[in-house]
Amino acid sequence: MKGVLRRVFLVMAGVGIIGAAMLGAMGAGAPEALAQEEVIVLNAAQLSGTYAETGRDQSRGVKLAIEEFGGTVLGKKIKLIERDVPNPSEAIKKAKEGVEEEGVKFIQVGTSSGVALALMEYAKTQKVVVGVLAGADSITGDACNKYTFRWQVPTYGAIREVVPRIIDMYKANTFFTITPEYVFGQDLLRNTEEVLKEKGKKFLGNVFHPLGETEYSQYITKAMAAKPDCVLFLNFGDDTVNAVKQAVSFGMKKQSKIAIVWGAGLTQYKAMGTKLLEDVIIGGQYDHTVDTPVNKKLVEVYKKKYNELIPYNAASAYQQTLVMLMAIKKAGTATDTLRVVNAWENIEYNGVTGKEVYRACDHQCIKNYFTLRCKKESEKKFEEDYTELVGASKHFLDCAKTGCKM
Amino acid sequence: MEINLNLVAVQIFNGIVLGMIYVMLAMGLTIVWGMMDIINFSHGFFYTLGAYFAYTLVSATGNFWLALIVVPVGTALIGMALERTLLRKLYGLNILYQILMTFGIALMGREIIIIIYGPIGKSFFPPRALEGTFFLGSLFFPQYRVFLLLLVALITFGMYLFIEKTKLGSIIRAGTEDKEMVSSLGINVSLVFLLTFGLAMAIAGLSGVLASPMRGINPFMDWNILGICFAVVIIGGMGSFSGAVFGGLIVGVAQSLVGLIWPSASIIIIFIVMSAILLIKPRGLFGVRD
Repeated sequence: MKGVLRRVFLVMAGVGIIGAAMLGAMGAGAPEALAQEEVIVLNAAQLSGTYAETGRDQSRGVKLAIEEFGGTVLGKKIKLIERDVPNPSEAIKKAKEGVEEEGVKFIQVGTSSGVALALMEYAKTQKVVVGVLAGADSITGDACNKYTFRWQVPTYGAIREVVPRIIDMYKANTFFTITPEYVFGQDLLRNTEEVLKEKGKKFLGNVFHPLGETEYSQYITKAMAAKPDCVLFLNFGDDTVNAVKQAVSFGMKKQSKIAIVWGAGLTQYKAMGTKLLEDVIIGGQYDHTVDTPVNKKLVEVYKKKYNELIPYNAASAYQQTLVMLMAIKKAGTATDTLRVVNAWENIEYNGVTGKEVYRACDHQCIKNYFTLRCKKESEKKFEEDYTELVGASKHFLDCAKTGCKM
Repeated sequence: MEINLNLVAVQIFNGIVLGMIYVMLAMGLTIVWGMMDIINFSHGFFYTLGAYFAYTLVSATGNFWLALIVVPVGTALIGMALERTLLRKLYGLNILYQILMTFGIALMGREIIIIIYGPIGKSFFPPRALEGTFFLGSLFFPQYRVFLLLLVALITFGMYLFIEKTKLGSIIRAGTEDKEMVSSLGINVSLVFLLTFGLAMAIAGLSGVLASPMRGINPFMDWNILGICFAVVIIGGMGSFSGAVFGGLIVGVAQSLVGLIWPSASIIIIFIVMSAILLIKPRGLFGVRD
């Protein structure tokens, strides 16, 4: 009797062990299995800190694009996961978690060029497709890779649209710049110096400030001491808001013209206010007044959903996410990312800024950059009517000169 | 770029203004530290709270002057409530408990601010009457910063008179030197602690109101400034009111002047100055206790 019971016990223990092992194997395979039924997109955005507003807008744009696409692609549900990426090391860590634990194959990343560059490198090793929403030249230049695409006009094109217009509109001959000290700011500065030299204008000097700076008095006093015709603010987001507000409080506008080369759109205009921005020239990747059918529809949809005009970061995230989903659909696969990449190359469409195309040599979107003039209070037709479009153009390095080798 | 005397003069002015914010914060920090033996890591949170209260009030009423009066009262009341319910339980215990508690209050407070206001920074403008700039030849001084300098100077003088000339002030002074003696003289130390903490948080809140139109507001602004304020208190001497004033001004001016020639070093210079002073005077410039 004892022997029978022992055998029964051993058999049941064996069944239990085999069962546990099978359950474990099923569990380990679950993310992969689920991933095949879903298309998992990671939105890597700066959801806290100085650029939190851009992160929020990016998030809205990505969600809107997914909704417009119907929430599915190739019959699979699009699952969006969002992670805060305040710095490059966090970006890689969160991307790694997304790829290894959740089966992420597609990423949208903004706003910091430093974060984007770090994440791109990691994504390349994992064959994950990345849509970048940042401005450093190297993203589609010497740091380019096969799996990365970028919607924003890089600093090269931005400066070549805005600075010549500033020279004409302000009749300015001497310039001083205030620049954030990191790769994006350095690119803007380099391009600014090149354009000013080409135009025969005098560059009086530059001051660098750390990202997220709150006290700009030392930079402003240096800029004002140089007595330039125009001070160019080469920073972005809250940095620009704080810098320009403090500059105006120091009386800079009484002495020099002010221009913001890389505007962040409506959220920034609201933070600064009409009075402060009167007649300031701002450069931008997008404006809600751009007259295209796609943009008009987007503005309407966003207004209905969020009860405000669409800010730039939402529009850019919307556009690039939409194109990413179009590429997946065109490729006919969401798992073979190289086929998605090939489908994305040369994809041409009517976008929010007009005709847009991602060229194959560097995966850069060829689109307009805009120059805007800020209106006086008396010129505004409604509360959010901050700007008037005064120029648009496309400037991009030839493929051979970008430094991109894929 | 050439650094001329005008540039230096304007930067000294800017440094003094910046220093005044540090003076305000350091006064509160040193009073609490000196009187209550609490290293208050939530001090920066009250600065942030004051900024957000001011933003809310100014957005609703358009009245900055009202915020100057109402916000410090608000932060004082919240401070006193926290002292009565949380901090009081930790008196006499190992200092680590107080550090943990106040650090926890700071973290929790920041998250509450993010829940209510979001992670995105806010801003509001100085009152219309102070929006302009004084130009003196090639020197230029924003009117708001001149106002801030004068107001904080007045408040500092008022605090000096309070500490030196009033009964409660003398109790605080005595308490920073010998708390046990004060208690043995029959003084209600609990009440003194409550009022002291309230006063310190009122000053911290007022600092937030004053700094906001200049520097903008975000939920992480305490983190930027708290380290500097601790450095100011250490430079001036723990528990010393005069030390807080001199320390704040030294730090502000050093930061501004170094920022002229080497902006990246404008924070590091604070700690270099602190180290240099401690080498010569280990208790700080006006240190009163070990």
